[in-house]
Order: sequence, then structure tokens, then C-alpha cells
Amino acid sequence: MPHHTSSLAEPTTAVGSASDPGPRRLRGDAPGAPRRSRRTRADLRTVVVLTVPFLGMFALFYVAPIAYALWQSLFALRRSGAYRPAEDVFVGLGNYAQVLADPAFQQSLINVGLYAIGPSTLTVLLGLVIALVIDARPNRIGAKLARAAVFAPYAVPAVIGATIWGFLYAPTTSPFVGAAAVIGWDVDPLSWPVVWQVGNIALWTYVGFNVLIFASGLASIDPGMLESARIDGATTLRIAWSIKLPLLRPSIVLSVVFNLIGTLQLFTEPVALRTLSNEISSVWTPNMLAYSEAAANRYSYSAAVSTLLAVVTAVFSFALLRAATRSPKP
Amino acid sequence: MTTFRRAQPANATVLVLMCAYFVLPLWWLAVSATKTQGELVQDSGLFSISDHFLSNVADLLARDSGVFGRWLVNSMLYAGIGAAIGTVLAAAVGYALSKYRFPGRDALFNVILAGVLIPPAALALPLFLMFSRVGLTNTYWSVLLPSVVSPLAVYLARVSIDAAVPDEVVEAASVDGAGGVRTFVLIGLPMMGPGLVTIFLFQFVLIWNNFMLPLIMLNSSDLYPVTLGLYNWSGQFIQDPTLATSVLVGALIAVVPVIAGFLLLQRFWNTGLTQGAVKA
Repeated sequence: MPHHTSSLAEPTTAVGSASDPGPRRLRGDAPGAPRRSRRTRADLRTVVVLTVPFLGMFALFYVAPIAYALWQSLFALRRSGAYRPAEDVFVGLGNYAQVLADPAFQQSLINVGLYAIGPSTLTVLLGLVIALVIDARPNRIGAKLARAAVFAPYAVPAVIGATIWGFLYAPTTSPFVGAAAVIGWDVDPLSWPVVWQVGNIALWTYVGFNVLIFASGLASIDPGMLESARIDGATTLRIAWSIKLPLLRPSIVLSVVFNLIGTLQLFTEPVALRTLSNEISSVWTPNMLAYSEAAANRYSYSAAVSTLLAVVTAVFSFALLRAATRSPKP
Repeated sequence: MTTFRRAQPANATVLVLMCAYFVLPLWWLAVSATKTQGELVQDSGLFSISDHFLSNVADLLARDSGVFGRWLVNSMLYAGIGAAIGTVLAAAVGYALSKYRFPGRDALFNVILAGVLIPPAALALPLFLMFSRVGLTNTYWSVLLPSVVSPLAVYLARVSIDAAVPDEVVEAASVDGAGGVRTFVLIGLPMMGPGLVTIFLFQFVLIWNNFMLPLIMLNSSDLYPVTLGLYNWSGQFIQDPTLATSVLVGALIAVVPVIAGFLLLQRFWNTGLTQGAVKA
């Protein structure tokens, strides 16, 4: 490895791996040589020029809002007298206590909880089944068409997806409700539980994304392994169940984490469907509650809801990823 | 091999049913865009194609003194500029992470990974609270600036650079005396090729489809992206039922370019980019 003496580090794939040399072990020429320190300084300058624009924006539009919301959530508007203007008063964790005791917040958590058990789980399972079916004969024309068909809705903005389905749910404009009535089947999607009215839209939109995740996982399986299983007489189903599925574990975890984040942050689909379906309350999900509180100028309360939601999301995704990396990989 | 063949009809049935579920709503949208308001309500069939598409488009473009065209341009600006700047910024950080070893590099990468787990929806309200303090709400900037930052793009850029830009090439350029930034622009960026396109496209679609941020930030319909504009119209169906046709035609126009772009670029999905993203 003679080129290790050069000014370049080999790329590492692991995050903060233990084998990483310390930051000071920078470049490789003879220690103390003037040329080396000039190179090091030039390299550092390059790194600064390359990273600072993004980091500045990241600090302003990612870190600062979170810090600001945290700060804001510790205050509340209070009036000290009937004729005095309201002013921000420090209340510590008072807003959080209020949010946790708020029946609307509790109900919104129940709603997304049911959503996670129902439509969200179904999205992962359906994505998995479709990816495995396509992968059984990936070069068939049918498989290629299916891949494109399943992925197409992912390009449709969630608002527009919800609008299309809103029309498809309504008896006057839906071809499906009418067709079902012809064969004597009385379907009324607008009377479905809200979880499934909304869930169907998200399912339609996001299964393709999950298929994509599983397809990349499947592509990295050693073809030799599958070939020898086939020679040993394993059926397609058996190969999918006993070989592909266990090897897909990291992809499954990734897909579950993405779906969980999406579920906890659910907002666009129910908000858009609300214009066409009367069943959905304006505070159906935690994010909708935070939005309607902010719209009513109750910023501190809204900030507390947002912060709680972000914390719950972070804890869940971290715990899942942690659990997935800790247990032995097959 | 008999079992193999037996599995085929089942597979085919599953695939056909799936395709119907995913494609028919889009087909219905295209068919409905050809109908007048009256035809839409009278005959909602999947195959009753009418011939009013062009007059519907004309109606749509004329409605509210041509505001739909304005929304399309706005979406193009938000998504085009946002994704272009965002991709270059992400590629620069990804390149630094991939090709240089510097103090705090691992910490930086971990912070960016943590950022991937924070969904933009969680940031929209805090951003609004912050922007309202400095009077930036209801401006182009309030939607454009936050859209530029994407930790996921940085992660994808790094994975893609690890795979597509060999250290030796960068090294040779540096031996020849080219500066680091210059090497990135003249050698790193072009070599990323498909990876760069994919990152741009992902960000473009995310911004194009974004709804919560503009909904929270914008009041003037002049600044709306197409998603927010159509949402506003569909909230007014009760007052004006003829809006239904305009919303459907508008939805079709807003969707077609993105789907076409996705399908044209489908071969890029199968490059090492997504594989690396899952393996790492």
C-alpha cells in the first residue's frame, strides 16, 4: 500500500469506527517536514471551503429551529391583570404537562398508533411481497412493468394523491363504487375508519418506495448462493422464505424505521383528504394538533407538541436501529 | 423445475392485481381530465374518454387571472433552484468526508446521520416560529432556504463518491498541483455522474411534493407552489363545483413531468448508489 504515504485517506464505510486513526494523524510525509505542514494547511482550507456552506445552512435551518422551538416551549403567554397586555412568562415544563394531559393529544397518539399497527405495517409487508415476486424473475417484461407501475405513485405529491382518492371515494365520481354496486356489492369508502381512508392513500403512495429499498437489498445477495440452492432442488417460495428473507433483515429494519417516522409525522394526507371527507378531525394527528395550535397563535403550546413529537420519533428510530445493529446478522 | 412453473400463474395474478391498484387511479385522473364537470358526475367510468381536455386546460390557465401558470413557475423555482444548490452543497460535504481526514470528521458525519432521522415535517413549525420573529414568513425565501438543506443528500453523496471517484485520481490531481476545491469541481463532480443526477432528482421531487412547509409559511397565493394552490382550490368545491375539473387537470399537469422524469431515470436506481445506501 505505497500510496498511504500520500495526502489522501482511504474512505471508511463505518461511522466512527474504532480503527479510525486520531484526527491529528493527518498526512503521511516525514514528520515535521515543511512541505507536509503546508499541505496539511491547504487540505484543511479545502475542507473548510467544502463544508462550511452546507454546515452554515444546516445550523440555520435544522439546528436553530429545533433550539428555538425548545426555548419557546418553556414559555407561556400570561396576563398579570385584566387590562395588561399578555406577555411571555417562563413556565419551565408547564406546557409539556399540559400537552400530555390534553385529551386531543392523547387521541392523536392513539390514531397514529393504530395507523402504525395497520396501514404502516401493511405497507412494509406488501412492499416485501412485491419485491420478492419481482425478484423471482427480475428480467421478465412483467416484472419490469410491475416495478414501474408500483413506483409511479411515489412521484405523485401527497396532496394530489389524496385529492385523487377523495374523488375515488365519493359515490358520484368513483368508477369503483359504481362498478361494485352493479355486482350488488355496497362499498362506501367514506364510511371506512379514518385510519384506513388515510392509510389507503399512503399505502398507494409509499409501497413503491419500500419495494425500492427491498430491491436494493435483494440485489446485494450473492447469486451463487441462490444458484446452489436451486441446484439442491429448493423451490422459488422456499428460496424466498429461507434465504432471501433472512438476508433482507437490514432492509426490513430500514423500511420499518422510514415508515414509523412517516407515521408519527403524518400530516399532508389527512389534511388534504379533510377537504373531501367529513370524518377527519382537524387535530387527527399530533402534527395536525401542533399546526392548529400555531394557527391559533398558541406558539408555545405548539412548540411543546412539536418537540415532544420529535423526541418520540428520535427515540423510536434510534431504538430500532440500535436493536437491529446489536443482534447478530445472519 | 415443475414447482418453478407452478409458481408462475400465482405470481402473474399478484402482479396484475398490484399493477391495477397502483395504475388505475392515475389512469382515472387522465380520463377525467378529458371530461366536463357534468360528464364527470354523470359517467365516472374508467373508459369513457371525452374530448374536452384542451378546453379544460384553457379554462384552467384562465382561472383566477392565470394563477395556475404562476404556481407551476413557482414550483419549478423552488424545486429547480433548491435541488440544484442543495445537490452541489451536499456533494461538496460528501466529497470532503470521503476524500479528506480532518478533525471532527466522524462527529460531523454522525450529526448528519442524525439529521437524516429528523423529518422535514418536524422542522416546519419550528421554522415558522423562528421566521416569524425575523419577518421572513410569506416570502420566496421562507420556502426556498430550508429546502436547500438535506442531510440525506449528503449521505447519498458520500456513498456515491466513495464508489465513483477513486482516491488515486484525486491524488494524481493534487500531485499535479491542482487545489482541493478545483479538483472537486473539475474532477470529482463530473465523475459522480449518475449519482449526482439521482441526488438532484430525489431532492427535486421532495421539494416539488412538499406541502406542509409552504402551507405554514405562505399567505399570498402568488407565492404558492402548485401543490398548495390545488389544495386551496379543492377546499372551495362547495362554493364552486366547476373547480373540480380544474383541480383534476391541474393535478395531471403537475404529476406528469415528475413521473416521466422518474421513469426515464429508472436505470439510475439500479446503480451502486442505492445498494451502497442499504449495505452501509
